[in-house]
Amino acid sequence: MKNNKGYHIIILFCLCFLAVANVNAQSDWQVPVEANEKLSPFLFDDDMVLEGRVAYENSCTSCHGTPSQDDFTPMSPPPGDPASEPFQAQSDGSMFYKIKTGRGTMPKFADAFADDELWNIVAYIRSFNENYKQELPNMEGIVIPEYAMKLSFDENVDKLVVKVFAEELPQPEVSVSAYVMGTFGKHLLGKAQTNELGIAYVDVDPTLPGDEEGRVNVMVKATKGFARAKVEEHMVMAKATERHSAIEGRHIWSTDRMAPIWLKITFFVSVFGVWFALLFIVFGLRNIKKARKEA
Amino acid sequence: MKYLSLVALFFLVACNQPKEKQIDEDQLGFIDADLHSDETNFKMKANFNEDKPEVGKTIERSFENAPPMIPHTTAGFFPIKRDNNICLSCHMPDKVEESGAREISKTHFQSWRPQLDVKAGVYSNPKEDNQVYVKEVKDLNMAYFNCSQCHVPQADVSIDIENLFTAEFREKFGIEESNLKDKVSEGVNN
Amino acid sequence: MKLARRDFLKSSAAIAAATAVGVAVPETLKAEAREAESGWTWDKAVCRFCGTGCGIMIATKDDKILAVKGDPLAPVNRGLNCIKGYFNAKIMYGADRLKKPLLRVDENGNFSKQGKFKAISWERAFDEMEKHMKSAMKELGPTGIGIFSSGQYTIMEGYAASKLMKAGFRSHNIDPNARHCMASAVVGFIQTFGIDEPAGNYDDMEITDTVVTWGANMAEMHPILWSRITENKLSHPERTKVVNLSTYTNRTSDLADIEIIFKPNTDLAIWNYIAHEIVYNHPESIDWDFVKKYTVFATGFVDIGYGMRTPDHPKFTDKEKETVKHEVAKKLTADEGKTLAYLGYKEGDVMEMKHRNKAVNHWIIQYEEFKKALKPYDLDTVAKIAKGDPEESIEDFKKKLKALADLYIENGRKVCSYWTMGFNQHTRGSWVNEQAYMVHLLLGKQSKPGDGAFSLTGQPSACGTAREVGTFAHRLPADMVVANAKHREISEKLWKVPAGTINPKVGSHLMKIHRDIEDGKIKFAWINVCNPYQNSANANHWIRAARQMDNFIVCSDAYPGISAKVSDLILPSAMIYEKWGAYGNAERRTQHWKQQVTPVGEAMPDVWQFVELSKRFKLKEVWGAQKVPGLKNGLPDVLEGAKAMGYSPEDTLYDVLFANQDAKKYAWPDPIGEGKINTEAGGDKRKVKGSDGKPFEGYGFFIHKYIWEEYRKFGTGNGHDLADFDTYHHCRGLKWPVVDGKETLWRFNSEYDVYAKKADVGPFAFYGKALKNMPQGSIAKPDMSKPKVDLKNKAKIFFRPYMEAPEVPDKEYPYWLCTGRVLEHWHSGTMTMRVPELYRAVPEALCYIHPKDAAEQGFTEGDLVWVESRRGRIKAHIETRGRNRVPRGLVYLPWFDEKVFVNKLCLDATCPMSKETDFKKCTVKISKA
Repeated sequence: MKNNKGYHIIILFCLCFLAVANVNAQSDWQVPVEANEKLSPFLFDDDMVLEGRVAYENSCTSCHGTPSQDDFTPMSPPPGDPASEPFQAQSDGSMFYKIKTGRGTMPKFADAFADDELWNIVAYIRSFNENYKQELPNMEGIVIPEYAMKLSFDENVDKLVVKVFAEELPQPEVSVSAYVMGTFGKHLLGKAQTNELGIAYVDVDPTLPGDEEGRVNVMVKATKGFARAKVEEHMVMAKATERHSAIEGRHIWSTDRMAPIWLKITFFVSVFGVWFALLFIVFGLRNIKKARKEA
Repeated sequence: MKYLSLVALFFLVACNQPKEKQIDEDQLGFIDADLHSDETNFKMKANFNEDKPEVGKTIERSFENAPPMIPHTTAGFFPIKRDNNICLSCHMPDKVEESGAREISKTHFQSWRPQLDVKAGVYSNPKEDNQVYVKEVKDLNMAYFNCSQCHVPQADVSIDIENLFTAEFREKFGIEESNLKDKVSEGVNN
Repeated sequence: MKLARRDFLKSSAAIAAATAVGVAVPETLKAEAREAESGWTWDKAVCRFCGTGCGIMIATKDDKILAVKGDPLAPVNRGLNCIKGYFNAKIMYGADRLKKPLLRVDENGNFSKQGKFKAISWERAFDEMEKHMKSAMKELGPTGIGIFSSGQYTIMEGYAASKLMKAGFRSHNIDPNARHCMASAVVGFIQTFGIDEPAGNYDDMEITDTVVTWGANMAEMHPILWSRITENKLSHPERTKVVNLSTYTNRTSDLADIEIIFKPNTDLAIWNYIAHEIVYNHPESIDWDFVKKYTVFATGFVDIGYGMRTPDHPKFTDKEKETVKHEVAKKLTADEGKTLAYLGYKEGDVMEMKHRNKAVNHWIIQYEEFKKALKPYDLDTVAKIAKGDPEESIEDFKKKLKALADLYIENGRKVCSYWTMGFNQHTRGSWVNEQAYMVHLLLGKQSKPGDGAFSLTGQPSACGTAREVGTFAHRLPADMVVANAKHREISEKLWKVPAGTINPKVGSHLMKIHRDIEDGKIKFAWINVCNPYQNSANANHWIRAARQMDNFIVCSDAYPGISAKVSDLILPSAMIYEKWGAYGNAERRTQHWKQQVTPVGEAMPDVWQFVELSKRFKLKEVWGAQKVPGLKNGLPDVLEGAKAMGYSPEDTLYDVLFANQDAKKYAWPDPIGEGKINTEAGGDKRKVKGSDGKPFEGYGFFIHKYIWEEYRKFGTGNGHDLADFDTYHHCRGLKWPVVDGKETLWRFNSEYDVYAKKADVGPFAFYGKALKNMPQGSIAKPDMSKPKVDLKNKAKIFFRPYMEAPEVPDKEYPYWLCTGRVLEHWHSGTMTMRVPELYRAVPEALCYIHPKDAAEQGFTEGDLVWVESRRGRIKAHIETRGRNRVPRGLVYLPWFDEKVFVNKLCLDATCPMSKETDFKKCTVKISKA
């Protein structure tokens, strides 16, 4: 009896400890001050949320589950639901830092994701918080240029040519990434930076398959600092896919006109021949019947 | 039987109607380079004959008295330099016994070029200009020093290009030997 | 076998013993001995290939060629040929020889640009040509048609084409592939001497003490001439010196005493260094008697652009604009800052190309200004600018430059300078040609036996046909020019066409024909004996224009090359020994040959094609008034003049130009053609159905002789004299001017040149007439207030500065791309790639690269790589131990291979004066494929 009570107390103590540990798990993880104050260079928009969702579902769901579903994996310490209060209470920079640096069982995602991809994940997590308002840096005096992009394809050297303008002026040193959009996702063609003339060149593999005319759906994103732009275009850039009929070359003919003469003649002769034979037999039978009648 | 043969003949004729052929531009000739694509169907880089001298099989001459092709590798032998012509170290007449190489044609030890006439510093065409002029030269005629200008190795490539030239050799040893030295003036007239 | 060999050796040993050492054994043969044993017939002919112009003997039997040997009587080669020369026997027998005319048609048999090729009759072919030519001319006038002519035309073909185009169609849009080859040399000649073509001849090679090759791989490109130089060098190893200046080590370097590897374009600086040495350090070597009596000093503008189109042209891609922007303004580099300082420029200045249209303008300056302009070209400066091999020490390089200059300067040492494409295919090609003459004239080492600057010709008849007959956009026969009214008058008289027929406006040069097709200004083009879609830089543009735009391209060729594949109509053409013809080689030697065999299939000679086409055009269709863009008032109606001459407007061009009274005087058969076929004159056994649908049985007159005799009249009496037709068939060619049956060995030298002697101004006379009345000026610009100077019988010593190429290696495109040839293949390879021995000798075009550069990029020997420039990309296998050993930072690609289409990469910048494309300088990057 005394022993049982002793065990009970130890278990209770451990449980309390765990509970406290759990509660403190989140708020225990302190991040450096500069990291905490870091602000996203991007304005969280639907695109980022979508990108972040893909990244999250590939990398984070295994431990954290789907946000707002509270279906995170029981671990020690528990990962927690990112849509929950302790997560949402921290700053963007803190969230960014934690994903990037990792701790203990949580991997260091700096090796897997570039900075802009990490911000995508933050955007996605924030999307579950209706009360969230993104803190933006002091925009005093900073004018965010509005980018216009023009795409073309240089078929001499198989390069996608991206021209970035803001109010007719070419924009140098803009980071450009080009993708080919497919049914199930996108394929990265390449990333480049615009030169002094505001032109960036991205190599395109000429054996990329396109539709019958060689068109593909190209999506290009341009970013520099807080300025972003995206354009999607259906352009000729790839190898035209010739759609062959599955029976091409294997059928003897496809229309009556193309049928060879010998076949036409044989066909008609056989058809008429068979009919003639049938009729001959029928009339023959009639004759027999007549003959019987007469007999 | 007659009818059967008639019918058979009929079918034969009906089936052999010649079709007017349309030729794709890439199939016009043997070199099938596609103009509009940068994808050239390259096989591996051609390998040249790696046989050491003496190992290789003598290559038949292309026509009577044509310069023979080199049946062995030229790696290490070409380029021929001013002070180092390795070909001569095996093929010169005084070296062939030792090396077993084919001797350089006798024509390479003749000069067929008469010298210009010079009178009081004024040059004029040689008086032997209208004749076949043959002068024996002691060592090699240096005009023949650059062997590679006529004799080349052959790579091991499949020939897509067919050439319909047919050679005819009048003398039996016109194939393996050259009788150009004796035939140099054949057919030459003023 | 052994026995026979011993016997053979014995007999030849006997002969050898009998002849002893150094005693000539003449073996003359009589004319009756033409028929040799076994039914073989030997006849003399000319090699199909390079500008050397070797003589060959062809053996035929039963209408087939059986063998080739060197012609022992031909002074050029004396019985020795190079490998291509020997295989002249096989070039006509490729199995895919074009035999019938081919037209692109749709399923219904009508012409369609997207259609596939189908065999048609000659009649239908000419119908289509007539239809499209007339529609192009109706829409655009005479400038709406163009002919890609050739430096490989026979002289008769060139003359017929030129006459038809210039006198018949009144268009000057006829320009040869020689524009890509010799145009800069021509400008150099005309500007310096006032007349085209070299003064010396090949005998200089035996006489001279020094041979300097500049940008010319003579060992591979002019092998027989190189064998003559080798013979000279190795027979006099101490006295004779050979120097090779090149941008990479090649087989020519292997024989040279000194090899100078220079950075591309810096040949301009090196010549000025030599001149600097002469003028500043060895002024006693200047032949002042010669210079004062026979020369003047001259210079021209430098801000002349690079022959490209301006960047605002709609067809340029953005990548191309990175280079093309230099056409209007260029930032000067440090080196240019030094060499252009004499004009007040400095490094970093933006030079605006204000004189793009005045590139040829030049004026006379004084010696002091010439000397001052040469000041920056001292040894240290030039060595720094010009050193081309990063791994060579600057001290070694300086020593070599000094040795080169010393060889030129050495008193009593004869010097011959030779160059070919390295100089001519250059954005300042005309300048560098002029600089060669500058040094030779300063030293008085010109137009003398063994002394002289000799411009080597690339093609077999760029001299004989393209230049002498004038199949250029701006030329008429015998060095006359379109822009000169008097010259047009003379031509009209000799061609017996009314005054005013010839268009006074210069036509489109070869690159301009391509550009005009791209702009829709030319809608009909005819390709003859060349491969313009493979041989022109920036090929992607022209191929797209030909295939996708509304035009009609006709290609007359023997084999289906790239140009044939791009065309809409292909005409099978007879090859060299299937027709009568004549070529003129680099030493002014005109050589004729007779037809040896019947052409294959339905192939017909080019002369026949021009003449048959002329039957389709009536005078009233071409000689009425025409609008010509850029020509005020257009072309006048000359039908009245024609009537006055006895022509009727219903006469065809055939009646007037080719089958006129003069032509019919030359009967066929003619004794000179005894025993020989002549397809054009007498038809041949195939009885090909001609342009009227009837079997062709010959014109009935000796059209070749008629053309020759009429062409002769242009040159007689003005320094271009040619002998009569029959004479050339009795000798191995003659060097013009041929006066009173005697050929001219050294021109401008009174001892050898009848015209120089006639001028009677001393031992020399530079009697060329063009550009001999020039303004004076300062080093920077002409001074029109001063009177013009008459330069009769004088030559010009030009000062030209060093300038860079428009596209130089940078971070993105770090390699120089140099293009060229190999010994075994000719030009675009259509003939030589079809000879198995030549194909097996060099089966593909390789990218020659330095082994360290290859290693740095992670390539191994034989790797397949992408070679990419701003204009295109191709694949090639690399070679690090080949015949061409390039320095670091440069790659070399020959262009004979259709599968390695180098001209997709090249830049179509030209010399602004000569309009010749610079194929040797553009930049590429290389990556693994």
